Amino acid sequence: MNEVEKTGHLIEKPGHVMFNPDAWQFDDPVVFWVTVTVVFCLSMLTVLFFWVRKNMAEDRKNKEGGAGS
Amino acid sequence: MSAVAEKDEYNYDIVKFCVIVGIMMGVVGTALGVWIASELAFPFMNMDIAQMQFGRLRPVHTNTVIFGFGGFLLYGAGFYMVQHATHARVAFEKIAWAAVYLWLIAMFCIWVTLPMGMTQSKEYHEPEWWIDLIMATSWVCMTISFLGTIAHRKMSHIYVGLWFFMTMLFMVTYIFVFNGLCIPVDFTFSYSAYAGIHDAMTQWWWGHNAVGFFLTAGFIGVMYYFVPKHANRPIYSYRLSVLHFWSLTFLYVWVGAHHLHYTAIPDWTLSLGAGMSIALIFPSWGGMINGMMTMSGAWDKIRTDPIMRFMVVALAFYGMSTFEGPLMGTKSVNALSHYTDWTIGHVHSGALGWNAMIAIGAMYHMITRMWNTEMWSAKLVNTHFWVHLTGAIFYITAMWGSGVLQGLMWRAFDEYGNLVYTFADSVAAMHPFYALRATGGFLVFCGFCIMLFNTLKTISAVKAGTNVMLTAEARA
Repeated sequence: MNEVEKTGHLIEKPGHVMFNPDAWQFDDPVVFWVTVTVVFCLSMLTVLFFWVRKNMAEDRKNKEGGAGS
Repeated sequence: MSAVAEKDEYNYDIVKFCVIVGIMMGVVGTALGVWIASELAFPFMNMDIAQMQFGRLRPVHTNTVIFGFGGFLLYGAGFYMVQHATHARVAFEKIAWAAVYLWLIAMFCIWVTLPMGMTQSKEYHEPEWWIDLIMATSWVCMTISFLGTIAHRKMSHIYVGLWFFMTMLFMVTYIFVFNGLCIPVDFTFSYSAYAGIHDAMTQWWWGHNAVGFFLTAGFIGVMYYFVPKHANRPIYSYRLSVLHFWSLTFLYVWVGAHHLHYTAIPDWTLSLGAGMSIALIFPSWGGMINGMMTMSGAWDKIRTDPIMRFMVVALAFYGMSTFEGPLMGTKSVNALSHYTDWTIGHVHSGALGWNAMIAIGAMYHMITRMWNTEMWSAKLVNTHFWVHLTGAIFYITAMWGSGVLQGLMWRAFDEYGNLVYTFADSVAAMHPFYALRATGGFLVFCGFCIMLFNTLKTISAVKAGTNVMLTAEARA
């Protein structure tokens, strides 16, 4: 069912398109690569955050007389 | 020449001037940014005054943060690191001061002329021809003084951070001058020397290299000096930094065409620009990895030192935005992202996340070293870090949301091939995102106010003799 049939009018409510499955066609390369870009960026920041935290914890352990000190 | 020679007495006055003016520019520039972001969310703030309209004030904001805040950081950090990395005092000091004062005069001229509508209408190159001349003269003075200092260096080696600065000085000079070629009519108006697509091509040759050399090569030079210095660790891989330098310098000049996808530019030019953009991920990530790995053995410092935290988070945003940018330069992603707020979000993930945070980290480092003191309040530095980071995240996520939403709305068709949404619908849909963006910008502005306050209190404490001096280890 397309947007016109679902809503009965052409003008959508603001913001609605984000949650409209018709807009998220992943076989469309535009939508696919847009999603990849945003998800990768968010993932990268998240991974870097946890990686830095892990390094901080290891470094602290080493300095407090743990392994390798 | 010996490998490590005795040091001249450094000229810190010029650096101190640039750092303090740079922080003030940060306050003014972000205040302007918050105001225009609020105008988009709440249009009554335009007040029906032509000089207050978004279109007039937006370039005042961009010029103030890029050339005011970024420019004075580059001048200050440039004069600081060239002295420390060469052990020589600034060469041609009167010329160096002329560079700084001319830059400041240019900023005042920008603040007056752009709101009055005197513009060349070229992004990041809006000021009229006579202001261009002031800026170009300042830049040449900076170049002469910088190169002169390197010529008087007390060791044979030239540190990689200085190489990045030199590529910035050369490339910005010639691209800025060529893009600014015009036929002046009077002090308020000029015609571009180029027409049609040539004008667009030349503009984005400059436009992207303002990002590529002014905001990247120069700030990378800052990163290569201040991250190892503040972490008190050697750079992770000097070989990688040299590779980073040559590949970044070679690749950046090609990528401007990706700003013109789906226009009248020949398709092969756009494909070349997109291809070079993707290739640019490798040197950019090489630099990020080099900066991050320099922290090996000093990671614990992030927990206790908010200045270090600014620098590490800046590197994370550098890595993120240098992945996002090339992907946005491909035709597939650009088909949706072009002309949307996503571009603004991308610019600000670079500007607020990378540029501002590495600049702030370097400024705090220079303040403590030049005045030989701890900051007046370490808690306020920490508060600044969290306020700035929260503001940047609010801003970037708001623009991701609104940009993707705009793109999806503009390309939605119904079963008859008509657009589902009018442009006005998409504008109305932006409101919550614009309000969130203005909130994020306000937090960044608050962060700069905290920084200015803390800096002034630090200097007052030094003058009153009530400051806490740096430890010998920190000064090393």
